[in-house]
Amino acid sequence: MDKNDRDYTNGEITVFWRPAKCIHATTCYRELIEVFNPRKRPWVNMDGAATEEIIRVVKMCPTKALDFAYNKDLAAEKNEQPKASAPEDVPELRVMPNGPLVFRGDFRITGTDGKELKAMKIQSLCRCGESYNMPYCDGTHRKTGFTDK
Amino acid sequence: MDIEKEPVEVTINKGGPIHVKGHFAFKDSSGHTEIKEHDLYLCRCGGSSNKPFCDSTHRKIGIKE
Repeated sequence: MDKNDRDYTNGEITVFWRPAKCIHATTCYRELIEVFNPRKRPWVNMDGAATEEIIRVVKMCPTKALDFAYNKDLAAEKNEQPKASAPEDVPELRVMPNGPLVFRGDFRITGTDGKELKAMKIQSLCRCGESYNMPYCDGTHRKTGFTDK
Repeated sequence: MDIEKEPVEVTINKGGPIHVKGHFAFKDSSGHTEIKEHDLYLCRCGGSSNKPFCDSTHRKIGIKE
């Protein structure tokens, strides 16, 4: 690990910043300046957008200078403790402000075609009605100005 | 304490809301969390006047899918 490497977390995921790999493609801040702002310190603000938005942009990084992992997985790697029936065992459905529905944990989601969606630790479903990738969130809510009101 | 847990059932209704059934934590957009034991119907058309819940507005405005 390089001394300039940085990790940023929002409690749900951790974004890894490996500056040695960066080719300054500028994708991250053109896509999501609220989170990736090279003029600010720290330059990554994990509270600037919903987790799935951050993941979407991190995945666009051409060199993996930005990468991420779910904190749950990181914790599981660290200590293979058998999970007791702790509160985090309860599946959680979050309504993101002006954003999607985020399902975390043991949800079995059946799509409009009656088929089960691929089981994921976290699934973001469209709430604004405008996604081009229904039933999933694709970030369109930000462009259309969807609000909870 | 090892209770065999069933996953929470979520059904995305064609042209309608998302139906969630089971025992789960529900965190609303203001950050308030509570445990839900009853069914929820969540708006998917973006037009409900009672967000995040469905109020049948989708019947008037339609949903893509």
